Amino acid sequence: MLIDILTSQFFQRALLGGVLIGVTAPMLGIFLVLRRLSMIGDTLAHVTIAGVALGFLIGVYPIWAGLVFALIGSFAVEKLRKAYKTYAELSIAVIMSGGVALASLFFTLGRNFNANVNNYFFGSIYTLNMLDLAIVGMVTLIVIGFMMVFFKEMFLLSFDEDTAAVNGLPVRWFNLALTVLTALVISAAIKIVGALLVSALLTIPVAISLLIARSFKKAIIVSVLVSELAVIGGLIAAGVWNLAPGATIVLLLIAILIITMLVRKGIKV
Amino acid sequence: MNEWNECHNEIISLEHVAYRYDNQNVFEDVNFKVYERDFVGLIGSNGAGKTTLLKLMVGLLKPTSGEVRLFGTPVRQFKDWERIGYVPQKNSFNPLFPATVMEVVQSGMYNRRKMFRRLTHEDKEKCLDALKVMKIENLADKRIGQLSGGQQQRAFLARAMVNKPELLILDEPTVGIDIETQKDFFKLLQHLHAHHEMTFIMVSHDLELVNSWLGSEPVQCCGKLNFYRKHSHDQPCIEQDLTHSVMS
Repeated sequence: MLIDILTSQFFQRALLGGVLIGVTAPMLGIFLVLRRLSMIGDTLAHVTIAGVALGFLIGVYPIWAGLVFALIGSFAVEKLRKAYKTYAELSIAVIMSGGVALASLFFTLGRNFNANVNNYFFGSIYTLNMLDLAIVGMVTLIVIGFMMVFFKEMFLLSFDEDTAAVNGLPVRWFNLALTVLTALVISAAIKIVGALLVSALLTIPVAISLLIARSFKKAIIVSVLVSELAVIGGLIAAGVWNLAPGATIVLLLIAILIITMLVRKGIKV
Repeated sequence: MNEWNECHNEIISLEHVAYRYDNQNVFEDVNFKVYERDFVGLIGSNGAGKTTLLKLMVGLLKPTSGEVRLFGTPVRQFKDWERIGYVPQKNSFNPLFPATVMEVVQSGMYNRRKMFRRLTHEDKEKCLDALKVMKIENLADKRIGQLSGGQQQRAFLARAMVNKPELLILDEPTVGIDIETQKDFFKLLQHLHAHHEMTFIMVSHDLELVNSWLGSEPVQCCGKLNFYRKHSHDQPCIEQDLTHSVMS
């Protein structure tokens, strides 16, 4: 049964997509967590769902509609973040409820597509088609390319934004780039992990790496390794026992987090 | 007229600078010039607008009216940011941030000119030198949050020094540091000021410390902001590599 699953094409597509998302999500997530924006993933995921629902409603490919919504949401978060500088989380709360409200509006307008939408909430290993995989691949290339070019600037920006500005870095531009990239990753990831759980992939691997890594580079490496472990393990478990992959991946991440906390003192890297 | 006006260039000039926030004047009509090799202390109580003025000086905020110039250029058009070193408040960063001291010091070089470029071997040597100057080279691989307050302050000073800036801006450098460490830190600043052709602006609420060093009378007051100034004409050190100015 395991072999049947592993060799099936739909599973291999899901696995490849998952492995790619497993790299990009924590890579962005570390910058979000360190800038106290852990919840932005959840927010944009809810906004994406509204886009997906609208996509079903008007016959546009749901991921594209979700992507557009996530981008609009990310601009809105940035805008509100500037208006309420000291309450970064306020912008997140407003946009999140806005996303949920729109999503429920579209759901009630199109009562017959609820079954399809479920996959977008909890993830699925059966539904990833070649177009989805191509989108995931494209997003991965963009994120990795961006990080390779601007890694050091993003580090300084997260460590202390004022110094980044005094050094003449275009701080606003980088902030915007980070939220836009997050929107891209989320809309690409929700078909595998599910909108309700995608932010876990942005944050929990980082939570684990923060416990053990001393340097920034190691923190990123650890978080990517942890996320890959959980994605691959979670997808296989989901395939074998026919479970929602979002659930297995996130529960695996939380298990790793608990184990790390328990044995933490012995494994400083 | 101050006697050094003719012999040194203007580093910062504030002309009729005003800043309003939420329809309240933080300050208005601030006029002040910082000249090459000045050590300027900016003193004021909480809410006087010290940090705001600092942010205006480096272009993080835009004045409601008036003009700020850096090295003679309006701050909006200023591009040579590596001429400026900035030491933020110690408590402005997250102590759990996963970064080593070396990573933090290297970040001093991440400026507009270095975008799209990697740090060279030479750059990394300069960072190591800066660590040696501050006597914290043995802490290079430690997580920044594990250091004591004084060590962290030295790490931030090392970071600000890696580009050999002409102007060093310090925001409350003594907050949360014990008296002995403060003294060491200021000995180093005094040496840098006297012998290394650097100009300093330091924001502080520690009047006693500023009085003991920059004199008891402010050279200028603007509202609740007081400017103290000490100018240096000492000969520059022959050695340029910094490593000699190690604290005793």
